[in-house]
Amino acid sequence: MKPYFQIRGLRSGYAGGVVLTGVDLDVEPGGILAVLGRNGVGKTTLISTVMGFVRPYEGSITVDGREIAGARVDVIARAGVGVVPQGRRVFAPLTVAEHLAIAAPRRAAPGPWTRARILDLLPRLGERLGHRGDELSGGEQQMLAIARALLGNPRLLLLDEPSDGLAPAIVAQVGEVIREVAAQGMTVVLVEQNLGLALSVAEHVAVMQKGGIVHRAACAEFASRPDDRRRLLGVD
Amino acid sequence: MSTSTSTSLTAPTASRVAGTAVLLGLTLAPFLLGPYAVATLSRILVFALLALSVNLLTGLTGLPTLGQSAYFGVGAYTAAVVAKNLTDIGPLQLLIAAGVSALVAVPTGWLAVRARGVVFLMLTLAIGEIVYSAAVNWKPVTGGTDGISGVPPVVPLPGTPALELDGLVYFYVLAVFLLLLGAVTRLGSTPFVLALRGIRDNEPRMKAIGYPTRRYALTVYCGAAALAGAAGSLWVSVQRFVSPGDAGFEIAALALLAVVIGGTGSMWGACAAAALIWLTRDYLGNLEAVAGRGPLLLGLLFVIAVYTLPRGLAGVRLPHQPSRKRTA
Repeated sequence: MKPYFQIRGLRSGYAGGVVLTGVDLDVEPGGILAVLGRNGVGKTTLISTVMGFVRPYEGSITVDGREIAGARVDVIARAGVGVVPQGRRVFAPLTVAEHLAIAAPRRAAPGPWTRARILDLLPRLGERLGHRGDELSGGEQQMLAIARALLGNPRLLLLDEPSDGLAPAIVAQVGEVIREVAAQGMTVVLVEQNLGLALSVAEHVAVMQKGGIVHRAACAEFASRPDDRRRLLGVD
Repeated sequence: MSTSTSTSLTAPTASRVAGTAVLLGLTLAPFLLGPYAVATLSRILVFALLALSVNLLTGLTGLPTLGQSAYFGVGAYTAAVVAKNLTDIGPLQLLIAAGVSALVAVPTGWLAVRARGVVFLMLTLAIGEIVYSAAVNWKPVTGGTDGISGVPPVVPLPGTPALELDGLVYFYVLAVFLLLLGAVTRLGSTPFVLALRGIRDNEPRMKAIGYPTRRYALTVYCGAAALAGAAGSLWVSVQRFVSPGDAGFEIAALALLAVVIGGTGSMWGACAAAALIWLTRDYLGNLEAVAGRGPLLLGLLFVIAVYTLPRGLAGVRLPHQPSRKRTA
């Protein structure tokens, strides 16, 4: 099957320094890929480069056959790429209702994710509509960040460490939401250090080391090989 | 015994009562005050409109500006030229002044909104200085350092008499002020203003949602320039005179100061602070004991405001208003 999201020979970094040393990735339509790796291997730089926050030095990034490498962030977003950033980054002074209003720009692609459907999937947000972003708990902020991304009806969703700083029960909820989103046909790239979450939602894993992909496997296969996990990630 | 909730006003009710009292006071002012005080009140309303335009950029969008005096000046000069050569009908002068200011803002804003933070501030300062220099040097149009005097009194509507008395001019200024304040306040609940607040809070995130943030910034820049231009037109209606000083740095700095003291983002806070600043400079500063020390008093006001009102006048909470808490 032709990949929906494809990266070839991607090199990028900051101020001339190289962080990504030639990343190749493929994700099939509707697939969930978990990108794993220790701190500092370039996972967040990968997300930032795909979203246009960091300009690539060279390489290709295509979404549904359309080249987006080096395009402006808002152009990439309107091309159907949504992101849930590390640390949530909700708008502190805006209420949940205002977040939902702001997250659905008038020219956003039509799609299945409407305000009503979001509140159906994430009912806790419905109870917090009048609360400001900085009044929410970490879990609620994460749900809000996911809702904000979904309301743009992206066809490719990038999640950067969505379990970061969350209690295990909330992480499980986040996992359920990701599965539900993918079940609707959205292609998902999950950058994660929480191996449990990654293996519970993804179909494939790609492990990063020193700015490149060093290992690819199906989740079931990776889960059954503790030696690989120890060697590549330093965990059992 | 009554409970505290039954005896105290709720916040929205208190706001409505305060708003009504201020409106009543503004309406009755010409009947209670002398001509000088009424003319001062007119100037305060004009300055409050300029502060509102700064607030659109600085408070709502997070773009600190020292350049709004440029568009205020462009509006004032345009209104003066129109009044002397074209029409003495105030609303027409106002519309033309606002339109010309917005037009001038298109190229200057296009340059300015490419930057953020201190660089944006410096660019707007430069734009202000350019307009000031143009006002001084473009003598055939602006009259140079002499300015433009002899502006005919404003006519509020076609067929009505010209407004010669300070009290009548004040009512014209008040009507326009309330109209524009209402328009700006109504903007507050629109998706456009929500987007501006998002840009102020986290511009990269807004881009990631798909907003062309630079286009939004340019739109609000031109809108704020139009508002400043309208204020400039009213200024000419009140003063019947305009000079380069009206487009100078001091006006721009005071307007920014009003937004800081008022509480960035708050429309009523900016208006209240504008009044406070103008009264401090032009009323307190003229009292015998401190005559000529208006700037010093302004400096003191700023220091006191920064230390005692970190969120500005708008951050002052009534005792019964609940503080916001993070959920568990």
